[in-house]
Amino acid sequence: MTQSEAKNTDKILAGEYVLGLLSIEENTQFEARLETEPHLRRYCADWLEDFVTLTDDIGEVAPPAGFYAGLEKRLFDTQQAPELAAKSGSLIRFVLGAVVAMGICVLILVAL
Amino acid sequence: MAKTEELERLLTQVAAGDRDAFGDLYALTSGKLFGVCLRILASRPKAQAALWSTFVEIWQDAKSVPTSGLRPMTWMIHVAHQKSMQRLRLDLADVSPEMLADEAQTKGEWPEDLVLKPSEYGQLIKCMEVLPWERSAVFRLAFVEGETYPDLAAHFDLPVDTMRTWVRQDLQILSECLER
Repeated sequence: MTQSEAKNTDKILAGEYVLGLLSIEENTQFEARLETEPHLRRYCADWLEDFVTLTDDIGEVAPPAGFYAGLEKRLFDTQQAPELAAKSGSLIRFVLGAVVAMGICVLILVAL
Repeated sequence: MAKTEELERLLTQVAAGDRDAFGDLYALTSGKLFGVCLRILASRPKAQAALWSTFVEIWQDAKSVPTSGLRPMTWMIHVAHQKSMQRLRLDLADVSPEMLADEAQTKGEWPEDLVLKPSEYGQLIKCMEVLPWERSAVFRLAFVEGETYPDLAAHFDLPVDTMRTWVRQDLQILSECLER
């Protein structure tokens, strides 16, 4: 295959990728190449700018009212919350454990 | 009014972790992106799940827009398109209750110039006119409706290999017409 034929094959492949026509396996292989081959990213960007015009006549549909609140909660509230909760949980367990241990020591000392 | 420059500015702010900018970007683009997801998936719960993944990726990956070589709205539609196609392929049904919370529809206000105008970027449409009608329809069915080669082959009552040949030949014609 000459260089220009290879270039052409890549352009067509990029078109099939952008159209969503590659199989899952072909898609994975192509995405691995995208990481290291900038010319493929350029071909995809070109096709995308063209094919995206096919969505021009798709009208807007408002997502459900509570959708953004849920998204905000997932992205902004819960990012650190579970970690903090886990940490504070273990801190509470540590403090309680220490108090109980001290209590036992006091009881032993009193008994002596 | 959401012009490309405004979306660029918002995406730059989102990339820097600006939550208010993310809210503004959502208000300006979620209707169009949900429309795209719905068209591909034809199911509200699945389209909501795809939209959810789309905005998670927008929040996490906005920094990659400048190097993608894409205009902001194209990049966001691309993300919505990919998330919808992944869901369509894998037919995931794991929609969390919070995604389904509040099915009530609200009608937002949408700037008229948000959607890309065919008159400005109509080169592809012009080039597609040189193809026989049914062959130009293939691109719409694939990109907008999410049809795969086997779907397209069934649609046109052709063997899958013939379908693949059609698409490759026509991509070649389009590529030449678009002068690449």
